[in-house]
Amino acid sequence: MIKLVFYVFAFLAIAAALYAVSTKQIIRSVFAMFACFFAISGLLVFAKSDFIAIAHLMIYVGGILVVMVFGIMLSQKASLSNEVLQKKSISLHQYLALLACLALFVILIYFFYLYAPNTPIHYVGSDIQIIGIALLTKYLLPFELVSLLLLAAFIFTAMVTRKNKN
Amino acid sequence: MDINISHFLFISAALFAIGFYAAIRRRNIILVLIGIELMVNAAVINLVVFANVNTKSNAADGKLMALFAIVLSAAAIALALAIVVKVYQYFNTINPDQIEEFKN
Repeated sequence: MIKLVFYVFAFLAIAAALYAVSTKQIIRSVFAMFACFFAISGLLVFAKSDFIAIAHLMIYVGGILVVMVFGIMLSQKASLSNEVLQKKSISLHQYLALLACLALFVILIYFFYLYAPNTPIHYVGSDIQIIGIALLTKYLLPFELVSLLLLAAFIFTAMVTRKNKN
Repeated sequence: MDINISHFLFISAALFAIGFYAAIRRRNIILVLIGIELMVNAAVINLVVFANVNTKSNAADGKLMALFAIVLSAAAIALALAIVVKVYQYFNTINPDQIEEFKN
């Protein structure tokens, strides 16, 4: 029963990602990414890491996709009409790109098959305790650096998008 | 009940390949960014999965790497979308094939 839920999440993630990269209308692909990120977050729960799953859901679905919708609205004419206009049939470039990503997929699967251990995932313990202790002891400096970098990125974002007077 | 690790690896490989296709093929910067996000997500799934393989003490490493990857990709996406908005105001297009010069 629980395995069935896992396969539903897996199918939803891959199908939504495929739809998102293959549809012509960009707003549909962003809304497909909502489903895809939700399913990935469910998969992270099955990978026995609940805190990462909740953080992923909050950051991606609540943050990044909303920012992307804003980006689409601010560049509305180009994003809504750009790809619909160039309705060519499948060209050589497209075949090459498909071939490249199929080759990438096969190579990744091959290396996983060769080197990855084929064991079930154990439950190590509660995520929050492990992450909290590690963030304040071993990973204190990277944690502070990441917070500084986040602050710098958001200040720079506000600076870039500000309307200049002259 | 415990899912085997190869299932997760298959899903992450598929997501990485799909994101790679979007990143190299789509004609819209926002869709290229979505492809990059898919690749980051595949990496996050792998990090979390391998963090839980060993029952020994290094379980925190992979999870914290995944957390840092999520935070950094959030910052990168915010910055990239700001640049996309600026590029649209300047060039009136967000097709990466049509943006050719960067000097004024």
